[in-house]
Amino acid sequence: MKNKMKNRADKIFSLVRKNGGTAASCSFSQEENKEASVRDGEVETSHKDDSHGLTLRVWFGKRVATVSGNPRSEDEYERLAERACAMARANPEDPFALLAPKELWPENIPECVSFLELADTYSPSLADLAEIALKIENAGLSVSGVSHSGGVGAESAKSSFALFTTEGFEGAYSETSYGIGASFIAGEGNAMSQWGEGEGVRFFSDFRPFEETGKIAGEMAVALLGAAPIPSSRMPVVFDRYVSDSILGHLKHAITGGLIHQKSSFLNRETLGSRIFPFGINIVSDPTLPKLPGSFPFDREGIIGKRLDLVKWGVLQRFTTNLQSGAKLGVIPTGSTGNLHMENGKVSREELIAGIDRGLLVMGFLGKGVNIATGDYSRGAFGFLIENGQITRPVNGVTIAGNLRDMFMKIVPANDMLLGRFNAPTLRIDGMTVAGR
Amino acid sequence: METQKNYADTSEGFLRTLGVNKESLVKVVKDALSGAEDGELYLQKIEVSGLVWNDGRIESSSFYSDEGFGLRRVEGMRTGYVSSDIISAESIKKSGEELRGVFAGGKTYASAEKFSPQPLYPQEIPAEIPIEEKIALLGKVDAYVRSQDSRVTAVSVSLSQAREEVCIVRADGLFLEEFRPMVRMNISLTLVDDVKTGTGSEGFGGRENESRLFKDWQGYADKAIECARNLLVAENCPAGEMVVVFGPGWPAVILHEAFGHMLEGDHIFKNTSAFVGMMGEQIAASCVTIVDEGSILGRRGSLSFDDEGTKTERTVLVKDGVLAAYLHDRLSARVLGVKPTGNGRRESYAHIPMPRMTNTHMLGGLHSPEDIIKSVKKGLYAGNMSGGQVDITTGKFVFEVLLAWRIENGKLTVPVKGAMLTGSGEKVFLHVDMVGNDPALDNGIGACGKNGQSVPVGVGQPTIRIRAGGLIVGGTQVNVIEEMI
Repeated sequence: MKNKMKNRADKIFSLVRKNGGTAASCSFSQEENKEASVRDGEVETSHKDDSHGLTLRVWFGKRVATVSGNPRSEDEYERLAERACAMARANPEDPFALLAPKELWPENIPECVSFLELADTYSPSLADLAEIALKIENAGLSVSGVSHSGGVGAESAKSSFALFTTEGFEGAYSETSYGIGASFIAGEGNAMSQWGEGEGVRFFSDFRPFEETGKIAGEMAVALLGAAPIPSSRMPVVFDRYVSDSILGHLKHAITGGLIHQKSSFLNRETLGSRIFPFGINIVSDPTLPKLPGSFPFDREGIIGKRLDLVKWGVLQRFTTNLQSGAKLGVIPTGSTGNLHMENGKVSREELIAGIDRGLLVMGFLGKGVNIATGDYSRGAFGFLIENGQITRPVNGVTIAGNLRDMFMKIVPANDMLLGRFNAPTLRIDGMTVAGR
Repeated sequence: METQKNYADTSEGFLRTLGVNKESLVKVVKDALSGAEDGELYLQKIEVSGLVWNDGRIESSSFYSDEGFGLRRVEGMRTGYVSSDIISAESIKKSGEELRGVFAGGKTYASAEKFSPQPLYPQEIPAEIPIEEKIALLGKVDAYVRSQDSRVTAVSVSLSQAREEVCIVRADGLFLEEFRPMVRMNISLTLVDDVKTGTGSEGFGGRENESRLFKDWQGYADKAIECARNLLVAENCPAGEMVVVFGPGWPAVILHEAFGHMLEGDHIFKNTSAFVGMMGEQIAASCVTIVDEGSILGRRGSLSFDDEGTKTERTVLVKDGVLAAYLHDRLSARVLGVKPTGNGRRESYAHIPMPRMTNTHMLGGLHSPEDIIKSVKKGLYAGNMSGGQVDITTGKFVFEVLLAWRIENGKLTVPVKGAMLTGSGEKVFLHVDMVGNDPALDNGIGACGKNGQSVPVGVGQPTIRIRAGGLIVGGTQVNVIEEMI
């Protein structure tokens, strides 16, 4: 694909120059998706989708504009390029819109790409995908107490991405992804519970056995049956691995360079280099790990993917920046993050829970009540009540609340992080407000 | 609405793209779907241009275009779908063959009702407003917001315009095409006062031409400023069970999310809704009547016909508290043996249609909003919602109130932030005990997500009162009564 795309990029670049443009970047994508879903032992949907796209960014000095589309012919490529030029000329100057300089590129892209092992060779048919989904559904439905299937799906995607810039960047790679999602319902009528289980991998052989996935999902639906709110109180909250990586998501959001520049995050330049987590916490972004779903050789701007310590020994090390936010903050951009994870703690999950007299184990959330500007945290949650170190009964309809600044400082991690599947271990945070009946 | 040229006069249309006439396109679809029970060809072209103003200048200027087709084949409960962004008669034929290969065939095609659509929005593809004029507008909005309060530290304004063309071709000869415009403006700001921060945001739009945005922004900017001012001084929210009064318009997002979804036909025939088998039964208080109405002029959730080619209509879902209808696409209607209600919608040509809401709203009642607030001794007034989520199986929901007020002795006293409302969708509207005479639709900002597909929707309601027991308020206030363990 690369050579064809390179020719096309060159044509677009010369058209841009002819129109008076001074620089441009151009990316091409191509994707083939397949997806099958089943319910109650029957195939419900089979869907195949092919798509391709172009994103073009054009500079006239410091004036810049971005267009994207899926042109079918040379004419349409030209029209899109001309539109980009017209838009850029009309825009006011943007001193922070930049092209990645050579120092930020990977040195040898083909070597990077082959090291990372981004693509599997297996290409399942729609029938293969349906069969996988049926296997999972079968396993889930055979769990005693499961009343019906909420639908099970399996999908595969093959895609390629190529980026060219007038600075001379040339890079391309192909990748694969496979995913499954299963939902099971236990109970009937007014007393139902539901659990959804998903898994996404880059290599097909990295899936857990499908029967196991179905069984786990079915058992969880049954375990949640009869969930009820608990009285309002302050208590320790344990974030199961199904939800603990959401805490990483909030950190990632809060240290985004653009937000820091706008002063719209509860973290700020003064927080940089200071303690925001307890001593033992290390949080790392590492897109250079072979075969993992979050790996990439270079990001959408052409910046090399590299390991970044975001939090080391509890201390905030850096903000994440792209070309624009890096320029605004006056730092060398970090580029995009990938495979963001929290390193393991010292205690087992069992030990973490055993020390709790009365607490809440959170398995899932409803609602997204997190204000990154203030750190105020308030989310609907469901899971299980912990009493005297034991999981006793299912809970739903409660809200857990706190402030991320305090929550971060109280985190105690277990040692069950599994990179690529559960990117944060089970976490305990004491003293959260749980509002229920 | 002024007299409009119709779509076919101002567009090249899909027939031109395909290089075929109507009859031969119908034939292509007929061949592709031979032996199928239902299905159609859906063709779509869309162009979206957007401008984002931030930090006193244009932060991004973007344009994207997309086009493609989706061919759907239905047999029994099974749907096969091939979508591609290469529109050509060849690729449609090939997709038809692929689908025939995985189905048994031999079914009888279910004919759809023929009709002439009455357009609910401009059908003339408008000339583009020069980008310089739009940039000047954004600058003007920014300057206005800053001039209203010296504590403003950040203003962000965005506008977007979508020009969408859609064509639906069925094997029974139904051929529909139209232009679907959509515009949207968003204004948000941050106020900083010593250590406190308040943010406010308002948006508006609909299926209209872009010129609307030039006229109407000031009132929305004022509302965003007022919201930020109130949030700046807002206290933490009290927690517990209490009377909650919802303001008119957008707070109906709860009605949509926690109630409306349970009335969608797929959740009914898949037996995943609490309202299965409840037709004719009381599912809301008797003062509550709820409709879904895709056929309102120019609203964000409006469509002249749905994405399967069914005429949209006003469907009375709940009449005086009694369940009167579910919402259907063609599949759920067939499975349940009723007529489709014009609610088969899809995000794009690359998505399979399913039952979705359009503009869902509660009709007005007897009480003035003032009387409703006056009636509450101690409670919460939820005037502006952020959004929320619902577990369709259990009916449990959580909604975040952007800005609420304490109600004390019949008066709104202090603004509070961070209120989270938890409840059960099947029960909450049974607790409505007062319905206001001020019904309103939202300003045109809603997007609904279901199974990974997002579609624009409208919501609406008058001021309503939910008596104690209907909702739990979970606040950020930390001094909840400590339980004795």
